[in-house]
Amino acid sequence: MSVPILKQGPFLIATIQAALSDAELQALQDELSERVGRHRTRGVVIDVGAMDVLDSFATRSLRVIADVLHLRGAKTVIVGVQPEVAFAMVRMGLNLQGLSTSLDLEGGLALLSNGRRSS
Amino acid sequence: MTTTTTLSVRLESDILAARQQGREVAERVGFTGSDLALIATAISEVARNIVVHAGGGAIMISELSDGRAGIEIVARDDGPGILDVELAMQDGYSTVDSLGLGLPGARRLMDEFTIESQEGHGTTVVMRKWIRTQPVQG
Amino acid sequence: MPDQTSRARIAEQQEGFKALWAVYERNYDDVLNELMPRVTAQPELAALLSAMSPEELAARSSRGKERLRSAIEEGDWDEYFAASKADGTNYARAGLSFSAWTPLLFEFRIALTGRLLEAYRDEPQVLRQALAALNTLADVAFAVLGQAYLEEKERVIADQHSAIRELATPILSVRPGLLILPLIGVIDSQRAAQITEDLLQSIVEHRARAVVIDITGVPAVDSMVANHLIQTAEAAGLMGAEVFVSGVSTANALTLVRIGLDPRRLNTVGDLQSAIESADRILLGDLNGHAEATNPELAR
Repeated sequence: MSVPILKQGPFLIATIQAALSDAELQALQDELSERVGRHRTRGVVIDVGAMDVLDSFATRSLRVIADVLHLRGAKTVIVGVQPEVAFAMVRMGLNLQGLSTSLDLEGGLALLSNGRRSS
Repeated sequence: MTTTTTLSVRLESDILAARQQGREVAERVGFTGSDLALIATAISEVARNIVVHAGGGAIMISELSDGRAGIEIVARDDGPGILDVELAMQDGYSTVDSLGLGLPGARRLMDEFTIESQEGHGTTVVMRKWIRTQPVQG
Repeated sequence: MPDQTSRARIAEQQEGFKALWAVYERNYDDVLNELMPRVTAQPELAALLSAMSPEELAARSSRGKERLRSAIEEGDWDEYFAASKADGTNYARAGLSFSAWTPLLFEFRIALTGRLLEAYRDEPQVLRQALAALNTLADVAFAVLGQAYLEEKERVIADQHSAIRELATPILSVRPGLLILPLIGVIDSQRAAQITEDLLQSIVEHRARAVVIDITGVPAVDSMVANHLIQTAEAAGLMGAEVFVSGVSTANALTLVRIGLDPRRLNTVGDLQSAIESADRILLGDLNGHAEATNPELAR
């Protein structure tokens, strides 16, 4: 698995380093799903800070991962979307609707702890 | 027109190569910040389109200097072609299991966008983006 | 720099230029002294000159003379015109008005014409060639200098416009986590995109979780502005910040409804005060969960 996943209390943190292929995203999804079940995790933070492009494929993949994790009992927060990437996404008409977002890891963990606000 | 970089696009790894190359050319032309992300994303979309829907093709990235500076990306594939280009350019339309071809999205990112496709003869997408110059108001 | 036509003209008039230089060279200092009162009479030019010492002035003058000699006698026109170009750029940078420096060229032409008439009054052929060369020199120098002046002027103006644009759209950090962006005036597409980029960058820098965009100062919104507001709100949302729009006038509200804006896509709150209060609720809400998250144990 090329994406490092850390356990932080009741949460998991996955840090995506660079553009992931179809296969790698699938592997990430499987790994997170398995771990969520194993640790009875209630929240997952996916850090996309290192991704310089979030195209329709990546966006769709993130949504699928979040949906799968949701069915497995965990809430997903996407953090670290870079300003230029956010700009390009909205210009394209892409969004992470239904997904919670936060500026960074700290914010993401706070959001999961708080459990209240969703984007 | 000056230099043109041609990349063969067939595998997923070629998508990353195409947009990295595109970013480099765009930087050379003088694009900054957000524009770089827009260009890289647009390239990613058309490149992925080639890989997923056409099985293979090529992307040509050129520096433009037609009075003003800009970048041109031509994405050509020899796939099955799009039956109805009009329909395909609508958001959400797709013939395969995905969220749409991403082409309408790419169009929104670039200044100029043309697409030609013939059933059985493949598809050619030409996109251009120009450097924004500050208007001088009197 | 001079175009092909000008270069061709210069090349054709070799004889004329030599005849011109013969007279100009021996009258160089004279001509300078004749033009000087005109220069000092012009307040803008006088100011420019006063910044230079007599030694500097003398040095510049002899350099100029050498450049022209080298151009006429050795065909090295590039250096001469490069200097003209530099002069043009400097005049613009110094803030000189167009009418401050243009008369100088006219005066120069007059000063030389008189001396050429005197020198070649018995050689009409040579006189004609010398005068033609003088015209060419003055015309081309004017074109090169003028072009450089204009380009620099336009660049300065563009810079000033940028500065004004930046001033016009300050992004205020009022308290931790909250940014306020008062939009004022007419917003074109380019400015709107710039504002969005700046705001997104500010969200990162200030770690903002709430943004209030106040459009009280925007007289008329159109679909372009509305779309930009929506895009800005969505982009900020991707970065974990919630955007509130305040200050929508009745007129603007009507416009937005008419252009079909889906009210759910924009978080509008009456006035600035209400918007800040709404934003505060978000920020306070976040704080409650914050303490827990900062004391986790790291375990694999």
